[in-house]
Amino acid sequence: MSLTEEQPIPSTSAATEAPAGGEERQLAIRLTTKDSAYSIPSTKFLVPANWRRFHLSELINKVLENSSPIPFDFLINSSLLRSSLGAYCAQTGTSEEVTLEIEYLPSTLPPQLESTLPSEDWVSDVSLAIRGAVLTSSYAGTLSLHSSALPAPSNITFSGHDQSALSACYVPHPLGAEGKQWVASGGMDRLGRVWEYSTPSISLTNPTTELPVPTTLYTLNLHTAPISSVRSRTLPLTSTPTASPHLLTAGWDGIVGVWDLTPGVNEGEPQEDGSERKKKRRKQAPGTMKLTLPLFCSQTPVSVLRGHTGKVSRALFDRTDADKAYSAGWDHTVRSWDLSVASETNVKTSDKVLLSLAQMASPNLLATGSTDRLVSFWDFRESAQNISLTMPGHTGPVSTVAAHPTSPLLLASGSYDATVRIWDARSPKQALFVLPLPPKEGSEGKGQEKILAVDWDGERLVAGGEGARIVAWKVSGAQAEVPMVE
Amino acid sequence: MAPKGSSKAPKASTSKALPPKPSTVAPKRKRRSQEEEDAQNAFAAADSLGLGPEALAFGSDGEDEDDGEILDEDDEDDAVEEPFPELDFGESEDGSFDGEDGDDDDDSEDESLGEVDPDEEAALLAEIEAEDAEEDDGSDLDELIRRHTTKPDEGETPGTSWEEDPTLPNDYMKRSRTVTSKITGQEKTEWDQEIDAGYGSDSSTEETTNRIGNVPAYFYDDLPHIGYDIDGKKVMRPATGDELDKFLEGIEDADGGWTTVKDKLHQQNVALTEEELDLIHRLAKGENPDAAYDPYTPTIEYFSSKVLPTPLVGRPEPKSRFLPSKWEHKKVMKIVRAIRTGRIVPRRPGASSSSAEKPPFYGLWSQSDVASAPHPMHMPAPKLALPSHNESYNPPEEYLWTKDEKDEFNEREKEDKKGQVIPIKHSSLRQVAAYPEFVQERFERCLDLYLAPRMLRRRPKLDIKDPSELIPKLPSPQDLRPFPTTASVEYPHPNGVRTRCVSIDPTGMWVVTGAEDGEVRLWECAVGRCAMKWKCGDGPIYGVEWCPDKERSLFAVASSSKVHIIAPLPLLSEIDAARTSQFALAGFTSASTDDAGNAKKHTQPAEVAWRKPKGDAEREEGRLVEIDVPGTLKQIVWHKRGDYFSTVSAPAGNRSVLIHQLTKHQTQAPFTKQKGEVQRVSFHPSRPHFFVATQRQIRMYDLLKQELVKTLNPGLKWISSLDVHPLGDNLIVGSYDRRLVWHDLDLSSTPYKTLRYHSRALRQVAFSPVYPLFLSTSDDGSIHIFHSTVYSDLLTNPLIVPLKVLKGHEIKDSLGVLDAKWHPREPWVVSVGADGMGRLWCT
Repeated sequence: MSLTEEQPIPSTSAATEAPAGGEERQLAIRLTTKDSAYSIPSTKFLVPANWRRFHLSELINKVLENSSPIPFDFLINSSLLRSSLGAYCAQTGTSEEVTLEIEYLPSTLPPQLESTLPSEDWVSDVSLAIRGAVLTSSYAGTLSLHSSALPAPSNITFSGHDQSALSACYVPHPLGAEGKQWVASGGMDRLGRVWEYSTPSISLTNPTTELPVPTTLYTLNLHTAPISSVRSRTLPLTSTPTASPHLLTAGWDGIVGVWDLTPGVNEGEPQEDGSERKKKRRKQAPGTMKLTLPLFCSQTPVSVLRGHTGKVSRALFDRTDADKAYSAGWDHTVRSWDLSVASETNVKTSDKVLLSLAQMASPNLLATGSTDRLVSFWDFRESAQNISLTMPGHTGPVSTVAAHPTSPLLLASGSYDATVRIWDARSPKQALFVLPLPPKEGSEGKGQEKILAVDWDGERLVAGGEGARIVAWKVSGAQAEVPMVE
Repeated sequence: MAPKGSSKAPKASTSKALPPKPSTVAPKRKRRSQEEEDAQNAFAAADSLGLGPEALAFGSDGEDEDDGEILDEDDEDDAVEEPFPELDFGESEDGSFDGEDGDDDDDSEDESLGEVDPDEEAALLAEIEAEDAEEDDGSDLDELIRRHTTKPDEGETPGTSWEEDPTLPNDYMKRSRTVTSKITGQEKTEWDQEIDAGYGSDSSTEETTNRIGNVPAYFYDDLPHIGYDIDGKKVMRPATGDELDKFLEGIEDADGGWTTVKDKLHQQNVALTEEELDLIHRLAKGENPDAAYDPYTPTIEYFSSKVLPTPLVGRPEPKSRFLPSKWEHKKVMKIVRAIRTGRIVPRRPGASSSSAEKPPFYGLWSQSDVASAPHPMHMPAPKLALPSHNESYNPPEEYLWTKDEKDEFNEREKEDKKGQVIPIKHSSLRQVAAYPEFVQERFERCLDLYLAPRMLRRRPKLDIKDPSELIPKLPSPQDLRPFPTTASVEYPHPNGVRTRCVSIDPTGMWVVTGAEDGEVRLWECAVGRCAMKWKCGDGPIYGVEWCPDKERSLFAVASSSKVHIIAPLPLLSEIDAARTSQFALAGFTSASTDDAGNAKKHTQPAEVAWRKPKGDAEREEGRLVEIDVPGTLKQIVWHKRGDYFSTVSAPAGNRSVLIHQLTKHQTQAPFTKQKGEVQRVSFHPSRPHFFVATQRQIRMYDLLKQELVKTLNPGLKWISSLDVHPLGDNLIVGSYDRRLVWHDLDLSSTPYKTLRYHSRALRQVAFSPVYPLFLSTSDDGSIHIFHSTVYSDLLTNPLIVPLKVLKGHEIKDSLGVLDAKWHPREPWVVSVGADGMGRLWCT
């Protein structure tokens, strides 16, 4: 039962596992990969039809002569092999005579449910930008930060929003001050807030350190409608002093605000440096003044990006290009912006109401989730078509998408159908994994629990939503891949 | 001429299979040996059954039927040819046959039979007689056989007659002697005279010396011989005399040579015997050629009324002789049943027969002028073409033919002329000659009617060949996307309270629903989270409607007898909130000044009162104005501009329809007299028209001119809902009798289309403000989505295509989907139902 042709393979454990019956069907396959690190000579193999993913993976490891076996996944005609080769052929009606072209890629091991954290109310946004900590915003109007590094309740609550908080993110500290961390948030009360809290120095000798109390640094007063998204630049892995605390806010009123939170810039009370600026600024409502402490001062935006004709659901900075930003909204468009001149550079339209936006690790590739239950990829090179790829699978609107921080092809999406799906762009017809939310204790499956926010840092995947809890999975098998260079 | 009997004797001895002969019937019986026991039994059985003599005769020679046939043929030859061979060759032939060994065997067999004769014959005869006991009949049969098998001339030979039968063995014995065989040393019987085999013997051996068969004799004309004998030797031509010899022969003959015929085969003259002449005479006279035939023999009654001691046929009596017939019974019962049910009216006993009632005579022509009722299969004769101007006796000049035309016509074949006549002009009808073709044409017409098959073509009421052709060609729903297909977001109301109404704000971000528990809830459209709620009384809320003005975010709520104007102030920006509340509250100041100045331009109905909410808390959460109206509110509808709104309340007489102006806090009752109970009202989207739907009618009023413009009769029993197309020329009406009616306002007052897709009452109909779509919701729990293109071209009718049935709402207390609204920007639908669930249906 070993392999024929000019590639004699020493009998592997996989081969010995195959039934010893000589009458077993054999299939001709050709294994290819786009990952040069794992490439094997292009040879035709004859393998038994009952081989599955595991056997093929063993085969490649044998060929590569890896000391520690690497699990691989196999794509046939851009769908993942989840059964035996013979079953695949029978299912798709592929003739067993032809040579199957199989692409293999390092496997992502199935995520494992890790923990469930309770939340005060529906979770509207979640961030994993700082390792070990989960920042969430809830519809109760509070942000909360769960971190194992924190003392006893291991939970910091940021309360200050009058109404539901709809988005939250970390902001890189401008001074790189150790022990201080900034957080920005926005919500229904149309007011963005920038918070500062001090990360407690973990001292084993003094475990009873009091929880740090976050303080509001700035209020971002621009939007006349609820703020749907607050995003900062990607946090540098190591805090460098050069990290600029820039922020993008997007609101239901269709405008995107660009903020520079560097101390001393655009700070303070009305700055009469232009009529346009003046127009954009809004007087604070008396009610808001009453409720908030007069410790902070309001901030004015660097620029305002106008162009969307409906609610902007997400606006974010480009991962690499400092002057580039993207936004997607309910007006069916994804727009790219040049921040240096505050103008629109590209508009791509569709017929979908876009609920979320994420940039993949590869440049110019965006992913969106929309109400028509699709995850779509948008290629933002100039000449490319609008939507390059759609991935059907969700049964409810895709409320959130989160790209893998390093892998250019992995994506997680959360939907109203109470599942998180992990996608590989090479397998658009079928999700890599479907992660249903664990059943909530106490409730007897009363309808579907909408997922409103998903984030992952490559190792952990967190999702939150209607269930007022944050569910975390461990995506351990995701290999730290080398990002594809253009 | 040698005696016939002697010449035939050796032939009989040589023949292997002797055909039966009357004289040998009895010996034949004896000759049957033991191995033929079965056949004998069958024979006996046939005897016992009393089979006819023919059957017996055939049965006896059944095994050699073929021989029998050959015999028949030969018999005919015998009649003519038998005498001649005897003349010349009889002796030699006999001798040659005698010498054969086979003869000896046969003889010995006969001899052995002869030895057992006396005993066995007697025993057999006794046995048969004991069994059959019909000696007489047997003799009758034998005689019958004899009569039919003997030759005419045999009757004359006394030696073979039946009467001399007892003497036969003696005679035979006289002619035979017993000698010792030289070969075997045994004794054997020798016959000094051959036994005559009789007429029925094999005639194939009857000699014709010339064996050329059926070859014409002239083949041998040039040859010295005339043929070949049996040994292949030439038979030489006999000498013939010349004409003188012939003449002399003729003189020598007694009858002048007339009885001599020429035998072509042997080239000889043969004189006919007396018997042959007699036969010829009989044939010439048309008599039976058999002289012994007696046509007047008495018939033997085999099957007669006389009961014989043994039956001729042993069949048992058939059952039908003594069992009543089942089929007759059925037939009778059929008639009986028909009489019982009245299908057959039997004549009363004693009543005269129907034929007697008929008049003995009837007028053959009395009914001829009365048109008889058409027979079901009556086929009218095809109509002839009416005469044209050509056939007129006085045709106009232009119809007359020229000479060339006439010549050309006359040159034609007769078939080509058919049905055409040359127009001839006559000055008067009197001068018209008789039509020469008349009789011919009538005859051909009769032939046509009589011979040409006609078929009654019944014209169907609807000539439908393919029913699918009747279905209008509609575009595929796939081409008409987008339209809502799936439920995406749910707005669950606590306790599943029945939700009556829903509305979406003009920006499309918020959904407001009114439930029967008196709560108005505000939902985030795409997320499905309840953001705010207001309690508006305890009764059910029948109507909630956002103000269509995008600048002012407020909505009107119809709770039992109060209209609430509510704005979600906490969710609005300060400027929007200020603008909205200022807009809604401005009327109080103007109203107060009116009150103060006694200069009230407008008198509003006494029952209507505009009030501010009492507490500050209520004002904080956005309640701006309350309006008391008479009756129980059923509907609220805003004018497009967002200033006026109209309410409908149920038992309020002429105050049931009110039009309110929010900026001035004024209310007017436009109708002083109301015909029927108002169900729904609607503003025209562009013109100052106002639609009022009563139970069965829709009236369109002009608000500026204060007059009735149009009355529409949708033909419904109870109108439930109404919506006007955004372009304003079309109207859809839903009814509780399950129908949806499309009215084209430019056309008549009757509907353009009536759609009946729902199985229960319709609750709401609505046009999409931006897409060419409309919906209808029903108590059957479904929402139907239709495509509707309205063309600006006045000649093209609107195109209505059913697209999708949205199912998901449960039916509760036989109430289904109670309200649904279109999203102002997307092809989405928000629906609420009796199951307390709101749903957003997305593409």
